[in-house]
Amino acid sequence: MRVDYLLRGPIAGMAVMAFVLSACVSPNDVAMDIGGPPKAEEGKTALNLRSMQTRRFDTFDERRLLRAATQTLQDLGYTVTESSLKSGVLVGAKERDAEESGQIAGQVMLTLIFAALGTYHSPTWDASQKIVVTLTTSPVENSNQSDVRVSFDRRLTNNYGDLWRSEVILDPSVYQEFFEKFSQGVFLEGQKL
Amino acid sequence: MMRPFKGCIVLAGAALVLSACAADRPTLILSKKSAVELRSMQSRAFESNDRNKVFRGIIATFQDLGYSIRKVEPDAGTVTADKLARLTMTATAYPKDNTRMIVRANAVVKIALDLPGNQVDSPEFYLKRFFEPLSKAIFLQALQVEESDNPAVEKAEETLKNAEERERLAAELERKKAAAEKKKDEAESEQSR
Repeated sequence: MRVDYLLRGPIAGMAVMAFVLSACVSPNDVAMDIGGPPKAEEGKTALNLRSMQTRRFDTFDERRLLRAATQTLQDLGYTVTESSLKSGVLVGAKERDAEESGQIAGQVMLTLIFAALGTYHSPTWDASQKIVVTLTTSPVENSNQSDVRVSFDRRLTNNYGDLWRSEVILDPSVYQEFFEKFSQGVFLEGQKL
Repeated sequence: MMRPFKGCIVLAGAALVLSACAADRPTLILSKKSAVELRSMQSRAFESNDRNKVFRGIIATFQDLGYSIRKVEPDAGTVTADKLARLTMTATAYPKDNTRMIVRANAVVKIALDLPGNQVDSPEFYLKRFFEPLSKAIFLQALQVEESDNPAVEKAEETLKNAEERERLAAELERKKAAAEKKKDEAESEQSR
């Protein structure tokens, strides 16, 4: 864990270098690279990612699913930024603190090490993050079931106020937690008197 | 006396090098390829009159590829999605002749989060990173769009024709005017004689 933080500095440094050098890189290559399907964690395939993000429910009532999803997102502290019943889409976002004392300590230590070596390293760490959640519903053909797929990603802002990193959230527990709450929501709505 | 001068040269050199890729950046750098070329790489036809299916297919494809949806407008058939704040794509689906749906996509990529966007103009990107996954998602083959399939082309051609016609008329008018002037001049010179 500690090594991880120690390494982050040089990696960030290299990233900055790459970024400076990339100023003249072909945008088409960058688009090709970013535009690919998300790489799942090691040992996991894209299919796994999809199954992690999808659940099937015994209803074809998309309105009900979207309503429950809106409730769940609000319970989790998200604000809804876009929704469309007609196309089965719901998008939400929330801002969260992203500071980790370990990362900051690592960065400060690195700055000191670099200073001792006679060079300057500006300590940079994650200060806040915006988590974006996209949820879609789709009726399963020739059945009365619907699929709900949800995906989370986060955009990290550093201590200088710049958006500097972004990533898809691949932690299965995030998805599990969401679907647990969501299933309860659908159930509760069904039980409403 | 000499030293500050040298310093200035070094500074000027550094400024020149650093500014090489950063001079007066616009917020969006558009492709330099021709409109015809862009249109052909950005659009495909699908043999289906099911607008909803194609539209939902676009949304599902975006989610498969790790985009988060930013804006959906089912009535207009447009979806805007972005991938990790760096790659933004807008896709539009519209029917053609009641037998086909035309899908057009346009992508803008940022090499780095704080740099302006570049319009993506590589045929490979649109094919591999959008149309192929889309055609798998909706089980339909993506067909190359013919020139006549695009209402914009017809309109542009019409406008062009109109402009030519106008130009021709203007030239004729000019010629008539010149002829009249000449006649007048001749008449005047005859009179003075």
